[in-house]
Amino acid sequence: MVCISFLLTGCWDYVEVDHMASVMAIGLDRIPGSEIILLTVQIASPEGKGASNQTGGGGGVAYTVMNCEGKSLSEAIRNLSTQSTRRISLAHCKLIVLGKDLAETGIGDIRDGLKRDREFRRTDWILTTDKTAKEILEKDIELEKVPARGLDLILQKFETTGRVLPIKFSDFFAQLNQEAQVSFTPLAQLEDIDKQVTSQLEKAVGRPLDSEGKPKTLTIGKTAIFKSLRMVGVLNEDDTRAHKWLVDSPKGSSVTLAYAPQAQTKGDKGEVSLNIKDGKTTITPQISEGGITMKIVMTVKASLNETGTVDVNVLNPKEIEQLQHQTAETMKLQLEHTINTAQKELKSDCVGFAENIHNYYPLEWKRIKGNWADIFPTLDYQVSCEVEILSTGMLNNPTHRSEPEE
Amino acid sequence: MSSSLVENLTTLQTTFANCTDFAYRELKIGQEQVPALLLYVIGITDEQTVNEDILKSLVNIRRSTLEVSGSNNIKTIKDLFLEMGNVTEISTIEEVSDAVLTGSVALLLEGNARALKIGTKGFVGRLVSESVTEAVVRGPREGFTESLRTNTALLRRKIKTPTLKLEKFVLGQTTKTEVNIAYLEGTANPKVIAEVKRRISLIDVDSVLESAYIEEMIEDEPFSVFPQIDHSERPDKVAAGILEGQVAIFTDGTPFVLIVPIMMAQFLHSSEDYYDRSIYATSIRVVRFFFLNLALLLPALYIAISTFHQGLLPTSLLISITAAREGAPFPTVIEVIFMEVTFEALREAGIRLPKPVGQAVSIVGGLVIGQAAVQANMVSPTTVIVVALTGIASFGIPSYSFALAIRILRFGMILLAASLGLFGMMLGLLVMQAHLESLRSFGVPYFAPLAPFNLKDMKDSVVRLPWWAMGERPRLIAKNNNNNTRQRQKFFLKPDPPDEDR
Repeated sequence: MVCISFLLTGCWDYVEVDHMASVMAIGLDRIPGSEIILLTVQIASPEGKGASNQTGGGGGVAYTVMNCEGKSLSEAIRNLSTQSTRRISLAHCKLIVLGKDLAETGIGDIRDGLKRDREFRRTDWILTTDKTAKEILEKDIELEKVPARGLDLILQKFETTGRVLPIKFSDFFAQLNQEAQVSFTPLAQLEDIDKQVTSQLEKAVGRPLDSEGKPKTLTIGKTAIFKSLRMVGVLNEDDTRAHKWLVDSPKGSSVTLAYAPQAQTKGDKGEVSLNIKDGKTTITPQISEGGITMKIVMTVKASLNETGTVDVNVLNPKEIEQLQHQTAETMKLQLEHTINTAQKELKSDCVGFAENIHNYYPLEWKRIKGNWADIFPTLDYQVSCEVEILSTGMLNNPTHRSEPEE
Repeated sequence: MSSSLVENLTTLQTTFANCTDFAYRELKIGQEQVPALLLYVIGITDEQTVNEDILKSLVNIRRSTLEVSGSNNIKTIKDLFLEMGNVTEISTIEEVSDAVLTGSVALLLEGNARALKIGTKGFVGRLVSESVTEAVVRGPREGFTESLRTNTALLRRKIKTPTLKLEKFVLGQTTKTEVNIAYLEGTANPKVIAEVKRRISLIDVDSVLESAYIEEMIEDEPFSVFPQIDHSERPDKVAAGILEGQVAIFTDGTPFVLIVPIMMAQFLHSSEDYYDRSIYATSIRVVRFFFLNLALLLPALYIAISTFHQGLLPTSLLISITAAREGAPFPTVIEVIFMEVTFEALREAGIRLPKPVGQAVSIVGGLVIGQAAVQANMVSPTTVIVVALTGIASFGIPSYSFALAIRILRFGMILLAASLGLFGMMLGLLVMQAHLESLRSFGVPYFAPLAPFNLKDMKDSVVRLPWWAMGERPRLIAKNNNNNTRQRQKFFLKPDPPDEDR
C-alpha cells in the first residue's frame, strides 16, 4: 500500500516554509462603476523578527503590503504571483477587510470566491472600513509588528469583553443567507485621536502643547450593517454596544450612567460605571390580535466599577436597589434607541427579529415574509431589563468620603 | 572406554594434544598401589579442591584395608572415599573429555572401564555487582554475572519454592554452553514451556556465546524490527516475570537472561515502576508512552507540517520557523536527516569510547556541532531543537532493544513524511499498527492487552495499579491455568485505618 501510494503522488504539495509567503490579511477595494477588484495583501515577512542572531528581534516593520488588481478575486490572487518571489499561502490569513466602495456597491461577486477557496479559513474575521481597505492594511498598529495580528487580537478580545461584536466571515455570509438577509461587520476607521486629545488639551491650557504629532490611529468602534450583500449604514458606538447586547449578550460590556442618589442631599449627580459580568438577552415574538410584538428581556449581572463623585452607600440595600433600577432604565433606553435606529434609519433587521419570528412561529413567518421590509419598521416591541449588582469592589464607601486612615 | 589406563591416557592425550591448559596427574592409590589418573583443565577447576579434597581422599585409601584392584572399584571409591558432593560415574571417553572441559576432574582407575566425574568447577568470575544497563533509584542493586550458577542462585534466593524449575540444555557443539530454562510450575503456561523447549532443542549450532544467539533462533518473526523477546540483567525483573508466568532462559557466559513471552507494553515498563508508589509509576509510564510517540514521530511531524501543512501551525510559530529557515541551503528533510545521522553517530561514539573520552565527544558533538551548524547557517535552529528533543525522548524508553526498533522506524517515518506529508505518516502508522497486532511472542499477542483488549490486564499496562489491586496474574501469560493459580494474592487488600469506635 505504501509503495503504491508513492506511484500515485500526482499532486506534489511540498513547499518549504521559506519559499512561502504567508498572507496575514487581505483587503478588497473596488473602483466605483468598474468591475475590477483591487486586492491588497499584507504578508508577514520573517526578516523583521530576528533574521539572524544579532538583533534578537528588535523593532522594525515585519510585514510587506502588495497590491494587485484583477477581474475577480481569484484572478487578483493569481496576479500577485507576478510580483511575489514566494508562493502565496492564504492559510494564515486572519482577516478580510472590505473597502467602503466595495461594501456599498455589493459584495455578491466576491462571496463565491471567498467561500470556495480552500485556503481561506471559516474563522477569518471580516471587517468593513469607511476608507479603502488599502489604507487600513498599510497602517501600523502600536505594539504589534504585523498589523493583521494586532487587528486579530483586538477582535479576539472583543469576542469576550468588547463593545463591538466581531464576526467570522462564514457567519457573516451565513447570516446574509438567513431570513432577514441582514448581517453586520465591525467597522475599522482611521481616526486622529492624538490630534483630538492634543487640541482639547491645548484649549484647556491655552498654549500649544509640546507633543509630537502622531499618525492616525486605527480604531474599531462602530458596526457596519449589510443588507442583501450591500452596506446600508453604520451604527454609532452606543448603538454598536446595544447591538451586541441584543444579538450576542451583554456580558463583558460596561455601562456608565448619570446617577443621583435621591436619599442624600449633599451628593451631586455624577457618573457611575458598572461592569457587566454576566447577562442574557432573550427576544420572543408574541402574536396577539393586534399583530406581532417582540418581547425583549435582558437580565444583567454587574459589578460596580467606579462611582466618581457620587456618594453611593453600597452597604444600603435600598440604595443598591435604586442603582440597579436606574442602570436597567439606562440600558433599556439604549436598547430602544438602537432598535429604533434599525427600524427607522437603516430599515434593516440587524437586531434579529426576523430570525426569532421564523424560529418561534414558522407558519406566521411564511405569511409575513413577503412584506417583511414593510412590517419591520413598524413592528411593536417591548423592552424590559433587570440588573443585579453582585459586587461593589474593594471599597465600602466612596473614596472621597473622609475616613480615618488605619 | 578401555579398562587399560595407559590406553585411555594415550587416547586423551591425542585428543588434548597442544592444549597447554590440559593437565593430568598419575598416582597410585590403595595398599595395592593401583595406578590411577586425575584429569582436569587448569583454570576452570578449583585447584584447592583438587589438591586438598580429591588427592587427600585418594591418598587416605592407602590407610584402609580395602581392596582397590578389581573392575568395580571405581564405584567403591565413589561411595566410600571421596569427600566430595558432586560425583557421577561416566563410561565413555567423550564423557570424560566433556567433563574435563566443563571444569570437572575425571578420575580413571586401572582395570576399570568407567570413570568418575568430580564436580570441581571453580572459575574466577566477576562478582555480583550493580546492573549497568538497568539502573534504578529504588530497588535491588544486584545484577546477574557471567556465571550461570551464580545467576540461578540469585533467582533461587528470591523464589524459594520447589515449583521453580530449572531445566538444563547444552547448546553449541563447540562451546557446549549450558542453558537453563526457569519457570514456575503451575503458573507458567505449559504450552509455552513446551514450545520454548521445542524451539531450543531445534537449535543446532556451533557456538552460543551470548543469549542473543538463542534469541534470534527462537523468536516468532525473525524479520520484524520489533524485539519479541525481552532480556534483563536484573534478578528482580526476571523473578517478577517468572512469578507472572513467564519463562526465563539463562545462558552461561552472559548476564543477560531472556524472558518470554513478552507484550509490547512491557518494553516500556521499568522494574522500578513496581517499587515506586503506583501514582508515581503511572505518571512516569504516561510520560514514557508520550516519549515513545515523540521519539518515533517528532522529526517526521516537523517535516510534514513545515513542508506540507503549514496551515496547521500557529501563525507566530510559522513566522519564527520561517525566520529560522531564512537562508538555509538544504530542504528541511535533508537537514533533519543530516542532524539525525550526526546524533546517531555521536551516540554510537559515546557508547564505544572509554568514559572520559566519551564526555569530550558529547561536548564536541552536542555543543560545537549543534551551535556551529546553526551559526554557519547550515541547519535551522528549529531542526536542532527537534532532533535534540527526539534524542532525549528516545532515551526515555527503558528497553534498549525496543528503542533501537523505534530509531530505525523513525527514519522510515521521516522519509514517508518528506514524500507524502501527514498522509504518508498515517500510512506508515497504519502498516506499523497492523504489523504490531499480527505479531506474536510465543503465542501471546504482542499488542495485548490493548488488542485484543483485556480490561483486567490493563491494570499493569499504561497504568500500574497499586499492589493491593493486582489480584490476578496477567491472563494472557499465565493462561490455561485454573483460576486458583492465576490469582496470586488475596483480593481486596486495600489498607484502611482501623474503625474509630474500636
